[in-house]
Amino acid sequence: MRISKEEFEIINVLKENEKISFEDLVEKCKLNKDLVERLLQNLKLKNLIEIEIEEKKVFSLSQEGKKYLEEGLPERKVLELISKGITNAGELSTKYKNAEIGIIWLKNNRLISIIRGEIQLSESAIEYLNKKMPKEIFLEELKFEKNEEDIKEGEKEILAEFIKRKIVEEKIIKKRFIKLTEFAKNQEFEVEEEITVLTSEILKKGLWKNKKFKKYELVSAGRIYPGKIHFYNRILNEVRKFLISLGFQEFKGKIIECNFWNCDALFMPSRHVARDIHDIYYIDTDKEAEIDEEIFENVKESHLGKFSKGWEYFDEKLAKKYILRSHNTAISARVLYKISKKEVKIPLKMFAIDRVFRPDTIDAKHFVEFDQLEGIIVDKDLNFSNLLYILKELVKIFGSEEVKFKPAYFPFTEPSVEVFVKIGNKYIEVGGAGIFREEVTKPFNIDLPVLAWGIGIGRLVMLKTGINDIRDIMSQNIDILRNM
Amino acid sequence: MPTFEFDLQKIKKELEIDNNEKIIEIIESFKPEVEEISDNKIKITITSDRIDLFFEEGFLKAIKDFVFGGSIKKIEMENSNVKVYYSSKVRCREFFSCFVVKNVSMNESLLRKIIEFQEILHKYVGRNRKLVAIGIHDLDKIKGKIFYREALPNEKMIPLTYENEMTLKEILEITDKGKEYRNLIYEPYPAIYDEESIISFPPILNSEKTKLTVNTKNIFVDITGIDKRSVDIVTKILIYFFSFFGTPQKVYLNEKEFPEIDNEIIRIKRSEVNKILGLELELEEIKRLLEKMGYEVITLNEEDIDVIIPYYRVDILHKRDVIEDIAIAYGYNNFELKELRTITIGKIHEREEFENKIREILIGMKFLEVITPTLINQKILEKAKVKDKPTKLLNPVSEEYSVLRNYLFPSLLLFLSKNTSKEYPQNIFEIGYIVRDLEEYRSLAIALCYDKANLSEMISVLEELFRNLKINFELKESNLEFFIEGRQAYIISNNKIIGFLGEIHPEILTNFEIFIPTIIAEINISLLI
Repeated sequence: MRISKEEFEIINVLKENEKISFEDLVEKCKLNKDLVERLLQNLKLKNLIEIEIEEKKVFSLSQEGKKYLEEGLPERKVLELISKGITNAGELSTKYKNAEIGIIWLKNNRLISIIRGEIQLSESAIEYLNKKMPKEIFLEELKFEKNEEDIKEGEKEILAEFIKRKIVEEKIIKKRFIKLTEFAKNQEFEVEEEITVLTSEILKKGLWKNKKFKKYELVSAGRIYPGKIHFYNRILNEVRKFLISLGFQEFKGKIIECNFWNCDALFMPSRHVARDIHDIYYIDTDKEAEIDEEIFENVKESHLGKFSKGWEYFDEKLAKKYILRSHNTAISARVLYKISKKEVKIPLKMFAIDRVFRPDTIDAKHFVEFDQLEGIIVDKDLNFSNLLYILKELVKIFGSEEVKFKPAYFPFTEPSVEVFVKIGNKYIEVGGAGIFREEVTKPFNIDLPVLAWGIGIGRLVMLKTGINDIRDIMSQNIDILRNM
Repeated sequence: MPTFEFDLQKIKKELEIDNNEKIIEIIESFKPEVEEISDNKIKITITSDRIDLFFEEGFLKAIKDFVFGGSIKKIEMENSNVKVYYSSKVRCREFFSCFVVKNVSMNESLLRKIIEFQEILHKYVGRNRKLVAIGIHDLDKIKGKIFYREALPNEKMIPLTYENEMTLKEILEITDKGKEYRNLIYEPYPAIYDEESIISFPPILNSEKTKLTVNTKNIFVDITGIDKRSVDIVTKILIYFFSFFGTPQKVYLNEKEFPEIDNEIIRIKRSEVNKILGLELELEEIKRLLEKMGYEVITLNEEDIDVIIPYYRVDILHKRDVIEDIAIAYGYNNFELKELRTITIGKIHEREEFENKIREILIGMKFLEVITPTLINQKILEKAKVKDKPTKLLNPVSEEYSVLRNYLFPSLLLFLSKNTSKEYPQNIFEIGYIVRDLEEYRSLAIALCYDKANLSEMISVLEELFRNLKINFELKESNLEFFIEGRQAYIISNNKIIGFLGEIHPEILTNFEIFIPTIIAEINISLLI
């Protein structure tokens, strides 16, 4: 039988070994792994080899198991507490939250008995006070994966217990073994001059002429993991492009911000509820931020009532405190400052997409940091109807033109509006906007109406990706990133 | 923003509308938000500016005005002849206000309503009694004149719901309210007296002696606080509230009539309203819209309008607030959208442009981009043997996110440590914020993580990256604790250290339980732009 040179090499290895694993075969025949893969497919088609798949069980620790490995099993904790003289089951539970688990398993293992709530140790339990229990030794051994065949007879019971307690996870690994068929064993082989791998040399010397090309099977050479931009940044960049197409210019501010730009310059009263430690992260420092004195005075006067009734109070020390930016309107405030210093020209349409921080309790809808999209428009003769128009344009990014507006309250805009778009058969809130109050713009000597808007990025990402838990945006699972 | 449950049937009756959809539409077009609606109840969230809607009667008046047009609920306060004195400033709660309500027809449900409203104001305006606290007393149980002044900790009062006298100090130590609010005051304490004894210990408790009962006919209200404006608006809102159930009256405060409650006037121009809103409203139309929102209007000529602001509209600071109400009455969804003709050139920020370029090059070299939080657990930085102390937060919600990272690579190690069961190679990078000495920077960290990964390969990556960015760099041996000695270097450009690279020390890999060789490079890209 005529076969290719490479196939011949594989057959030779197989002749020397009754049965060989794929990995060993690759090593012995000194061929590239992907090539061997293809050759095996060919040989199988010619009925020269058989491929057997053997399954192997492997055991490893679950997250919980790793925790126990670090902190000790509840049984150990319970034994420790008992040795300190706490023998009442109820009292144990108050001292240690997993006491109940520990007690159940000590009891199941017949190491303790409970009589009217009082725990009594068996003889072996007394011994284990100063000695590791077999299951503890086994737990340590499981730090790295363990094959099924490496589990000793005495460990099987413990393993069963650990699986039941979800301390251990089992995984099935498939391994391929290759052997010659009976048919192959009775064959005589000779090498056929067939081109398997087309090389530069073959091309240069024209050696391919009058030769046969080996047929390839239509199978992949294995999975490729491409380099990829993070899906979240991909969406943020799409949003940037969209805004640029509408003529908006991107600005940056600071994440290490001070209260002044985050709140005071936006006419949020010093004693506003949203300035509480529950809404803004304060930085642990005694340093005070430096702020342009003239603007600082102007803003202070605005709070004290220069342009309206005001808040009749201004806390200078609070204004200078360092915080983490809690909303990107702080960037808009810094842009107002740039306008006042003539560093930025009017007409202006600006936006910012960047990170903000909030001390929220973490759940599917809240995370301690996320991104916000905000912007302002400054020009002569702008009005509320223009704002509603541009809002309708902006929310087209949600893929819907059905828009509804609703009155709203923000401390820094008046009139204020919330915008809803129809997605499916429901209107969902996707942003807020308004015209900056005169108490906000006057301290910067800006006499024009400034239209301010914000769009919910989180909503957009959820719609575009199907993610419904905000924590998944910063997913720490590499497979999610590979597949997104 | 607080949520309230109101009687739906009452609203339907007042508005003469039976359709739920229609009711929701009216309420929402006017600012509050409907959360839930059932047969008899409607749950409504009211924005924090409209305190005058925080009770059923106030809410009903406003939506009735909105539907039928309305007028201001008038107030003319007579003097009750009650005499109140506050001679010296009370240091820890400086601002004081009070008034009297006569002829209240008290019953169980009103008593409950009063206490509920008091608690709502405490919570949402008083910021849990810190800014303002309210005491409500049976006026007829007060003996003679009333005084607000400082008290010594050993002075005594029978606190509400108790039988025996306690010193003020004991009240703070024993009673629940005392324990809850004692951090709001310090010695000498604030106290309100009549000619016999202490009747109120703000912001903690009233006395048992002057407590309200179903038999109460006349009421004395005290308001104390640390914020002048909050004391002022709570006084106005409470007078408004009680005007639905009795006759609010003034007192003699330090021999002067108090409080003086007036409806202020704000003058607006027709042209100004139209300019801000982008409408072309006639004077009569503006007048009609303002009346829907509960204002009264005096038109002076074709252009000027005097708007009388009800004293209970404590949210009106500026004429712009009145103009918003005109827009609300007009209906946001009735606006004709006017094209914005501002022509400007759009532009991405140079930092983003630069970072996108880096991303593109690294992705070409098969690196996967990751995003991890800027906030991190200090223990992770310690695990990575980062020596410099990070910037800490004063009020973290959890230890996991309690400091700002000062290096980016520990975040990558943390990421890799969570993916040890996944397939390798895990070659990743991140561009993110780091913070050092209150200064923020953008940092790039790259990790090669697979069996037999080595330093030379990372050097190749950096060479390719910098070649594409057209930046020159050189390497200089370093001695950083998180890398293996002799397998690490500083990255230097323009005579400045801009970063470092090296093979992560096995001790650190073991700390993170990453049992795969890992090579790291980190570059402060803020130094490159």
